[in-house]
Amino acid sequence: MNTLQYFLRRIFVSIIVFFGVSIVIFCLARLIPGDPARIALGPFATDEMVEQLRETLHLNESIFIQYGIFIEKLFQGDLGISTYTKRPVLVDIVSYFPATFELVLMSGLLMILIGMPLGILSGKFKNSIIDNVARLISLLGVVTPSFLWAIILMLIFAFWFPILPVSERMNEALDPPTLVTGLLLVDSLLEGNFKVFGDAFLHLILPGLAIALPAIGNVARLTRTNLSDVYEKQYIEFAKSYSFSEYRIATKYALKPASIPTVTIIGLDFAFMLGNAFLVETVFVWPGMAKYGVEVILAKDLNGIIATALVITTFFLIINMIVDFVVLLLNPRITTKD
Amino acid sequence: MSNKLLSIKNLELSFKMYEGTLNVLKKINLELEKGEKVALVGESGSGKSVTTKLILGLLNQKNVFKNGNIIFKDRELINLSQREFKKIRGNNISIIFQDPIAALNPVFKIKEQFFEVNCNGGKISKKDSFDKACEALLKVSIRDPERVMESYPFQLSGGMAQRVVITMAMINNPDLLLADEPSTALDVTVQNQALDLMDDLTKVTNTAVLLITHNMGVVRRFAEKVYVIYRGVIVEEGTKSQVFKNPGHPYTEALLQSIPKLNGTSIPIHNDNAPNYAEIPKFTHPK
Amino acid sequence: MNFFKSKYFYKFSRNPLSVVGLVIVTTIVILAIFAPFITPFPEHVGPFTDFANKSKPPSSTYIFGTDKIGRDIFTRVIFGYRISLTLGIVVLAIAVPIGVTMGLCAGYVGKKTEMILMRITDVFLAIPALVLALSIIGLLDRPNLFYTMIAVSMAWWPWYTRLIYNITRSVKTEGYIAAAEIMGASKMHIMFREILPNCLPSLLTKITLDLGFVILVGSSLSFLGLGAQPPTPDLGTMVAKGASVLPDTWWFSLFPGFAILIVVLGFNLVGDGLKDMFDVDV
Repeated sequence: MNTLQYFLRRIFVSIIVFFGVSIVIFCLARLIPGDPARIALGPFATDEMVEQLRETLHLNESIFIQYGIFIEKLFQGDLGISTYTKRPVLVDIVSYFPATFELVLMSGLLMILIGMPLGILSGKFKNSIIDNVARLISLLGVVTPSFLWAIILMLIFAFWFPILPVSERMNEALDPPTLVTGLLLVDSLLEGNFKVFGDAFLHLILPGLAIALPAIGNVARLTRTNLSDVYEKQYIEFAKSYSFSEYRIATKYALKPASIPTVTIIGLDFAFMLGNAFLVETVFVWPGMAKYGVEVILAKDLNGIIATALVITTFFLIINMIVDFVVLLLNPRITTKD
Repeated sequence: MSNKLLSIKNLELSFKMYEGTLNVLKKINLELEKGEKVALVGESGSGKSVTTKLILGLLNQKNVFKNGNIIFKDRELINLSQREFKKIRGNNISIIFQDPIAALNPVFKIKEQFFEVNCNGGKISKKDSFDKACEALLKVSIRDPERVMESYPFQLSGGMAQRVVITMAMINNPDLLLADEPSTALDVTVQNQALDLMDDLTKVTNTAVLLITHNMGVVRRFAEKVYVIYRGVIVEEGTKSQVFKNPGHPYTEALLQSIPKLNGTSIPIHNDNAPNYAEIPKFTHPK
Repeated sequence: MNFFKSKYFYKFSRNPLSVVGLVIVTTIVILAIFAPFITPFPEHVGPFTDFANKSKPPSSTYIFGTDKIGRDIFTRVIFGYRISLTLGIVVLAIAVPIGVTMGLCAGYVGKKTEMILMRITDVFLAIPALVLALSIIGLLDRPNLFYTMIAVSMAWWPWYTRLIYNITRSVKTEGYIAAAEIMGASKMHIMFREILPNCLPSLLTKITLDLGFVILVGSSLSFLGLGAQPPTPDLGTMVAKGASVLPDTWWFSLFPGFAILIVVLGFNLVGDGLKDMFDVDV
């Protein structure tokens, strides 16, 4: 099948998965012990008030009808009211999501820009000092929880050698740029405001690094393994027997086949980093989706929880599709069929 | 300048491993003249494949111990620098592997891989490389070389891929072609085609061929001179007719018996009471 | 003793780090089992206060210092290992049987079963582990250790399904499976007595690695306040409590934090050693 067909099929599968996930989340949400209406109204609510809220929230209907209403509202952009912030959940998401999105993108960038070269160096100079140092860094990255990295980075770069900021997205003294995308880096560039750009960038480094370090370690190790697996293959032996330049083997003929499984891992690691964002946003007081997510979970805000889970899942599904597409570009086997 | 293209004298090779030292080649001697077709026959593990790696200078790991002489065109190869080897590989000495599709990089088109090979013969533009390769592919009866050039290796059949690989090996008119089990991965029907192809091409360019194989049938079809190797030791040396008509070493006899014959009634049984072939001295036929 | 001389152990010990990992893991397990007998202040684990000695930095009496209400952090860290190890074992004891059985069935029973099971697995795999566990716990009554174990198990089993499914698919075309089928062996027999043994090297390796990672995820959940509740000593909770008083009383957070790091490191190194030993890829 050609590229278009493959692409359409992937979208179709993603949609099915999306609905599947929404069902799972929805069912889980409805399974909680306790009455969501009562929890929302607090211990001083009367029975009538609780019953009224239950009616409004359709909690007395069958679960299928509830799900139906939920999906219908979803497509109208109505995600309900958050019992925690008392605002429409959609508004909450729109105000918090860009912060997390920017943070995860930064982490992703760090993961690719540091992780892959680290892995390549490791694989190329296998068993040398470079390799061993790189492997040590990777290992420490993988086994250290993100929140510990966050604390360590904070201690080093904020308290002992104060050169980087540790909370919020921007210095309070500065004015934020006009809101276009919600991404500070993009918005400040659009305005030509380099001072804010620099400031926002600095604020992104520590939390981004704390999130990315486990993924960097993972990507580095896997790139190393994939690269050395490829070097064992016969087509590399062929390349050596025919004097292909060592440089071109390393950067092209070995790298391209090796990057295919690596790219898949990068996609998975985005999901993993999203999980870490939950931890790091709390430590760095980052006004993002994850912090919101933790708070709605602790407050048992049904609508908030469902919406957060769905947004995160959608984000992950999109990342997966991008990853699949990149793999498509690298691997001719999937689309060319003679 | 001697007439000997390749002269291997007292070549030893051992690997240091956990279980101890593995002696793969124990002082073997081998000679090839210009344009000669020589077969190195033996079973798996006899050390025949590893000889090609040594000729190409591809065994340089820390646990490798090698000794002896490999003289190619009056030049000692055994401790040659990698830089010098780069000029020789793909240019003066080429190699064909057992599985042609595995030998080609699956994510690059054939034309790109040809380009790299062509560069060994001197600086060349991508367009000239494409044309040169197409011309060469025509000579091996590939009727639509442009399509093949634009294909990926997994789109070719085994026989087609082998023809491509042979073309790549011969395109720079090497003095020596190493063929490591070139027909083993192919269907029987295609095997002979590949061998004939090798025969024709090397005749034109007067390229010598060192054919590594375990298949006596292939040897009979292709070789002029035969070396029989058993566990790192050459046990017999002679011309094809000498070795096939009057095998001088019991191991050679055992190999010959393993060729299926049309009128054979019994299946040759591997004899557990067979003598230790390695201890029986080498038999050299008179020149 | 013969095992240590075998070729397997040689391959394992080729990398000295694997042996280091084994030492780490063994030490921690022993410490955890004998915690009440080897820690200096086992009574600090329960409800205990000693404000006279609160927030003391590391010293010879209090190796890791004391916390805000005077409890010895070293003792609490060792007891904290008990919680972590229990979490790891219980989670995998739940997740592995479920995941393996589903993987075997999906790979062998039939096309329809395969489709249904793998689609369900895909849905679960689509949600990041931490997020899924968070959602599950968050929706339950009061967070505690038990709920954490359930939630993490739910997030973990799909990875085993996928692993076993892949192995089953490649093994089911082997000759001995066909032989067993012809001899009339039941599907159950083939799955558990023929296919499963082939999965053991990968399975053991993955379980070892996962023991570390489950502890990692578990401590992340407790960091957010969703794990074992005070006064039970839990490493993640201890790090969280100490985070707000950085950098002055840095020992509140750093020692429990490093304790987590070390145990995950240990299991990771042993797992890598097993990978080399069995020559698998999980």
